[in-house]
Amino acid sequence: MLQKSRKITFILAIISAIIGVMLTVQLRSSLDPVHKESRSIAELRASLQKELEKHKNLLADISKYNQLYYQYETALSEDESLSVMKEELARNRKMGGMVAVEGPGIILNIVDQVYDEHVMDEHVPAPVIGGYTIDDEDLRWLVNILFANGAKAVSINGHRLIATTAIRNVGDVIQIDTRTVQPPYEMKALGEPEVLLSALKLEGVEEYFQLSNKHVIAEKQDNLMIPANTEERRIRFMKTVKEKGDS
Amino acid sequence: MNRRNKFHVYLTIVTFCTGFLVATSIETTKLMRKERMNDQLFQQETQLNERILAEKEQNRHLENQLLDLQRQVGKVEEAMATRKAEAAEILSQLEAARMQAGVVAVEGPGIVVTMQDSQHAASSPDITNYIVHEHDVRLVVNELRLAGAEAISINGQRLVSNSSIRCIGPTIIVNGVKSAAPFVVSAIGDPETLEGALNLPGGVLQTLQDFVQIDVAKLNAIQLPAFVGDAKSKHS
Repeated sequence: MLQKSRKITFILAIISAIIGVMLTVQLRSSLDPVHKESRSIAELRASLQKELEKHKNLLADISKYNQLYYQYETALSEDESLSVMKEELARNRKMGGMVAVEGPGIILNIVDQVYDEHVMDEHVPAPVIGGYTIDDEDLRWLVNILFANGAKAVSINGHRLIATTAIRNVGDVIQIDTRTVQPPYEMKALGEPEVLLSALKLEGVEEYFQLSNKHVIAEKQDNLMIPANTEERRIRFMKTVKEKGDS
Repeated sequence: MNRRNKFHVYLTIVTFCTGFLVATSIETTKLMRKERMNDQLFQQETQLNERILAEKEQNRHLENQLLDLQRQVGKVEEAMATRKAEAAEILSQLEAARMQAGVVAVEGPGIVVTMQDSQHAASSPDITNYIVHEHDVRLVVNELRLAGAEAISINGQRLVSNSSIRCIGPTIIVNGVKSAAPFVVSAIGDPETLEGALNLPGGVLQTLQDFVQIDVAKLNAIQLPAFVGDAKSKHS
């Protein structure tokens, strides 16, 4: 009898201790939800990085203009400052895409998929029945991928794209600015070849153009020449802001 | 028997309390640690905020400095132009090239297109139909270019010859700078032509209007900022 009741006491003691602990934990955790602050920290870090990037860019711009100013000031003769001005003009024209540029890059050829009846190659997918043709948005999409991955200059069928270039379906053909381009399309992009090629893979460009029975052949080039934009552009509406605005 | 019963009750209470105490002390130490961590996080956050503010302030100064410099350079160039006819010729070319390259702020008449996710988006079963996608923005930009826009900016980022427009989640990335909706596309050009191009029957505005909130405003004068960061040898 005595033995048994001791046992009961012991068990009871343990159980109540456990209950006590559980109760407390329960209370505590329901009273005190976990804070989520790490997210805002990450966001803040991102915006700080953005500002720092801008800072760097601004400094680079300032030093560039400082240099230009210095060159103007130290020019000994009219001719010398004139040549400084010409240099500056050439630099700006280059930036605007009015001058041909060269360097490493890739060439993209969008060609019709060739189907050989006799060769059963499992790597060649079956033709897509009723696939659609390439339209302007497809080209814009591809160009955008190239630029987003650091392409410095892009041309389609020899037509250099600049800030105001429109790519648009006109009837059945695609028009770039005022020029019509016909398939097969050949795109040239200046930039890190490796980066551009892996970006094309990542975005699924090959698979996408497969839908219209097209095959994209991408080639690395060590020295690529991209022509200048030759379109004549008259400026009629915009003018340089001389005074500091509100923005 | 009675006594032993009482003893059981006491023991229960005492052990209960012990358990409570143990748990409380454990929790308290944990909580203190967490609080300390929260404190650290909070400090970190304030520090970050302060740094961002300082950086922004500094950037504003730098922007002003850059504008001053540009003005100084402009004055020198103009002085040269008045002295020599050849310089005047080059200067006008230079100014045009600068504007087209997007390295100077420009102003002129134009339109502002504001795009926003539709208000029906939340209630619609097919949400993706009612939010603004990157190709919608590209479509508008393309149409504006076609209509002869001379300069375009999206959310304050000037489009230059190698700009890209990307969407990641609800944000848009132009020139590597992220910004959120609403997406404001500003373009300088003939306001009538620009608006007309968007308003064509079956055109961009009609197509998009059913899905997203899109507003077009003609303005007599808008200012577009310069593209910043051209000096880091973007072009070979």
